[in-house]
Amino acid sequence: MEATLRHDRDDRDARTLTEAIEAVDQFFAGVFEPFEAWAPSLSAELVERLTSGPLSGPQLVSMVADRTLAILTETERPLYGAGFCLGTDLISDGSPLAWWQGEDRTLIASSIFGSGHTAISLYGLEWYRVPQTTGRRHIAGPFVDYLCSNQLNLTVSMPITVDGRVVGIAGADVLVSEFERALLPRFTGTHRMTLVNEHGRVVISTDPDYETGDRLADMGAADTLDDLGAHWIVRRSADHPFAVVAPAV
Amino acid sequence: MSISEVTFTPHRLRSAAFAPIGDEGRVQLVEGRLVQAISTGAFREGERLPSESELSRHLGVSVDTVREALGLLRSAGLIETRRGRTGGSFVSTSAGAVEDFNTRALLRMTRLELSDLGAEYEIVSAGCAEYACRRATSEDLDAVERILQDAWELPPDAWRQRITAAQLELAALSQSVRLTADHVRLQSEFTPLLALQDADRLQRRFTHEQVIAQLEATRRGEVVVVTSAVRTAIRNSVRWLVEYRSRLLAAEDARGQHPAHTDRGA
Repeated sequence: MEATLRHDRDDRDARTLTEAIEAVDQFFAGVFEPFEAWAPSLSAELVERLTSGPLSGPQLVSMVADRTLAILTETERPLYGAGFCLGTDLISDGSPLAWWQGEDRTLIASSIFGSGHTAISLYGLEWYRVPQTTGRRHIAGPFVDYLCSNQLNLTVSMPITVDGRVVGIAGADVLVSEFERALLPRFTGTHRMTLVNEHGRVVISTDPDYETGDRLADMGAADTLDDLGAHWIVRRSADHPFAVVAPAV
Repeated sequence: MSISEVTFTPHRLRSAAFAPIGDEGRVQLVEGRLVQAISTGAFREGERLPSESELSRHLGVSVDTVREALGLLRSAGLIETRRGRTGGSFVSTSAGAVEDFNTRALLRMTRLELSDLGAEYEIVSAGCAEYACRRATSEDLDAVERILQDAWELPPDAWRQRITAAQLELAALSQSVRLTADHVRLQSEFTPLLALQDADRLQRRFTHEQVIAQLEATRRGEVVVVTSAVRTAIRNSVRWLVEYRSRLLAAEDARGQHPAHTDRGA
């Protein structure tokens, strides 16, 4: 009898978890959508512009400014910033990063990123590294963006390819605080639901035992959710590197 | 550019230096920010600073204000101005100009101020390190390891940039915006002094090994080892600076000079 009750509750929780991860997927699909729409023409324009050699930082900025600012203005998602980052081998001088952030849509200062021997190590940045090496879109974070926003960020990033080669990364920043405001109200129907990234890092949670930034207990040294074990009910997203989890009763 | 060619500039220290200032106390504030950018090693010897107009835009002050502040830096020997198309303001290449400047800053501090700064830096760093130890993934730590790779082989100023960058990255892995911001603020204040140790190879070796020990213990999730590595390293540096400061003051007294610390009527 008790076993049946527990089974029913697990079933109900599983449905609730599915609804929560669907809300998360819907949110990020909406963030990616304008970039998916932009990618073919951006790729074509890069082919054309790069035939005469690398671009300068200011050339890159003027090439992508209108479209990026339009995305920031027209989106229904709470985007904190957006832009495009060209591979450093395709930049002649100046910053490879054409990215706007904040309420005033400020262009991130090129001098902060420098050029030549002081160029920022893009490879050190998850939002650049992952789509660059896998060729697939990615959502990085949560991470403390100490270079730019000084906030806890999720950065949505999409590889832009030319002839199958990744030449740059387009993307957008979502502050975790804004994301929490938008999504946490949707995490209802059961206690203690937690959205984690694929490394088990907490994005948002209704579980008093977990804060944003924590890693799930039981992760151990593992870097993936694969071995999370029977203590957790897990609903992984098919499209994004996230899962909603709840402790099994 | 291939990954191996990339160096690790402490970019966060640059953006801290170039955050908007507003209207008050402009020249001195601009001077202070530029001194901060140079003395922390965010710009290295011989590196060109952003142009006057770029600085005026970043800092939100007039070009005249920037120009006046650059004049003060030039008088202090921190920058050199070159004319012409490839001209601009460059971090002084004359031997030890930045180090001399940082040494004078150390001598102007009281011992109390130095040890109190050390105490705050120690606690914030250890706090960041503890949270990072609980929260970092191995992928996060691989990124820090790449910053430190081959760092020991570099000249002291480039090595210091790597160490600063690695410490900042480790602090950010705390996942705490506030702790990371505190760390950046304290690092901006303390790095110019820490860099005074860098001619002392043994001292550099010690710092390097402590950062590696912190990284490895973070991987293993050993909070006690991590915080103790951080705190030991910082206390060791403060102790070194206290002794260095005493030696310099004693030497100045012996030469009958007016020690810099009497500027404040001490």
